Amino acid sequence: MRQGETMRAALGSLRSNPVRSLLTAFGVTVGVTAVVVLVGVVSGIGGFVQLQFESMLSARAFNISRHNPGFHDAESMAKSRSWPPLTASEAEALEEYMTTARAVSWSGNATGTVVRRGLSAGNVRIQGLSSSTEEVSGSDLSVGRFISLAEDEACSRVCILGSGVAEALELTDTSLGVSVFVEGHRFTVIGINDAAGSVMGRSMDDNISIPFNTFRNLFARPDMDVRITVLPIEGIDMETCQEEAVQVLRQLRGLTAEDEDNFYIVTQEGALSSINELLSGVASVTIGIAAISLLVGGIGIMNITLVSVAERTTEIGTRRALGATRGNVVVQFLSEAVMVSTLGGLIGLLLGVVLVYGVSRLTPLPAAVSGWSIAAALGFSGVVGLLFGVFPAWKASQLVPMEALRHE
Amino acid sequence: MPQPEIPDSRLSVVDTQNISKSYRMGEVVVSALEGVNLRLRQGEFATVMGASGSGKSTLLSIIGCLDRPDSGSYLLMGKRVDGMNDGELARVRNRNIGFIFQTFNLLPRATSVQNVELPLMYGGVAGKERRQRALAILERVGLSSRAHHRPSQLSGGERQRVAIARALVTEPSLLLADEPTGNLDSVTGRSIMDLIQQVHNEGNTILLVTHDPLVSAMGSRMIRLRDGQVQEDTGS
Repeated sequence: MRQGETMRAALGSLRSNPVRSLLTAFGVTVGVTAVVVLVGVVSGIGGFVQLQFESMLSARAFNISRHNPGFHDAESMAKSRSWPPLTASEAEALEEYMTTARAVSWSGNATGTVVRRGLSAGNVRIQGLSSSTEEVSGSDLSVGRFISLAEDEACSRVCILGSGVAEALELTDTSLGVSVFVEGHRFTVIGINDAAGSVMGRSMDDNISIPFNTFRNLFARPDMDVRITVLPIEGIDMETCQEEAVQVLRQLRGLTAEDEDNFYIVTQEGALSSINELLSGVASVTIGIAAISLLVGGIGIMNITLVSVAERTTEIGTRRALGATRGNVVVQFLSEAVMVSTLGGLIGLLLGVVLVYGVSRLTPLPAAVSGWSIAAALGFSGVVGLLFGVFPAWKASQLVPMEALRHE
Repeated sequence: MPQPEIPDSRLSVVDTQNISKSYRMGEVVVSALEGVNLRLRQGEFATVMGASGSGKSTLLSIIGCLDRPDSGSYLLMGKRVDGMNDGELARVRNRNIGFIFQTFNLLPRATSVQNVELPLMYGGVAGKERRQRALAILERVGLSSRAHHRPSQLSGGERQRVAIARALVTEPSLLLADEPTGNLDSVTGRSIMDLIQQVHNEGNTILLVTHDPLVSAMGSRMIRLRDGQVQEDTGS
């Protein structure tokens, strides 16, 4: 007999019990929804973080920092806290002594309020930038110019506004030269940045950039940790440049051959691999959740298939009397289990797609449903039906036809 | 009293030699059949009577290849079936035996024609031919107009007609009926018996289990079982 017809029979029996079929499928639905949503969101976060790192640190440059992004044990975190902070003079020394660096920039930051004529922008990120920042990291000015070396050396009170701050203070492209007050200090606007959008609901445009030395005089804490960024000369590879930076900084800090480095070299690649490590941790948790919910769903399916076998014992006996083999009976109940499970998977997939779409519309995360998560969701739900349907189907096939017929 | 062997040119459809069957019910072993010899020739209409527990159902299930005897041999259409495996028995049931049950045993979600098609489906008959044969046989039992109804939309008599059509559709060598009128009122029961009589007249071999002496009287031969043994056989 053709198994396709057994499957059609199984489908008919599902249709005759739609509510029960749906409830049974629900466990698998939850599991598949969880997988689709978590995979979509996690890969969305991954893509998003990658984008942020790429915008923060170009692939060509590297940072020197007391902190290393990624997972750390308490011991290594305590150790890095005991290291001396990086300073502007170290950055200047690196710029002076390094032969493989095209430029070195450094920055510090604080938070404050910017005011103009009764309008104010609170919780603004105040960043002190060395004049070399433009060369190292580029700038995204919509109007005006970057901070000059002379302004930095003279501790000039000039500033570049983030587009969010400019908007809050009702300043436009024609507002260059006006004054704003940063924590009570008067600054002249020399530029306004392009809008950069927001990250996790937090605007990237609520900032103000001022010369580093001005920043140090007005806003820095004594133990300020500056961020140093090194751009290698064109044609010099990253590793060579990093090695030189390490050597120069070790000499500056008077470290002996036995001492370990007391700073980190942070590259985009390294940062991304740390992030990916974190995301793969999240992914394994996801897989765990999915496995548990699929297990629960599978047990539900096994249970309902056992009920179905018990209810239809007479039918099994009749079918056997009419010539159904054990194999036919197995296929019938197995396809029922697989269909319920796959139905659950399909509903879960649908729900997941809707939720992921919702996330991508309502949050800045570029969450998306990937082809392989669809395939995995459907594949796994089918496999769950198969695994948990085998026992009831086998049990049904082992009924003695005569006893099955006599069953009341 | 030993009876002389009567030579008969007709083929034996059923030929059991000394078959026995016992069941274990908990600790107790119950003997259901003890050394039953039964020959059923082509075209015979035999009825089996006996009190409940006399072994009627067990005999029917062994002859119907739904169960195997513990000992003895069983030839169906000249072929030994007592040693066959499960798959071979399923094939024999499908090809050679048509079952008619007291409770009709139709699939509730399938229409009449789908129910009749079921044995052909298990026999591997292709869809189009299957449908034609099922409709033709439904016409023979007078149910053409009910072909696409479900059992719940049919009367008891109509259901049993569908079941008889289902039993006949594979053109089996042997029809087995277990109290076919047991769930029907007497008028409907009589019309079903008329149909079975008609099926017999067309040349089919029938073994029918019943309590009802009136039903039994319609057969050409009566076998009475008692305590798992043949007590009386009007035809051997």
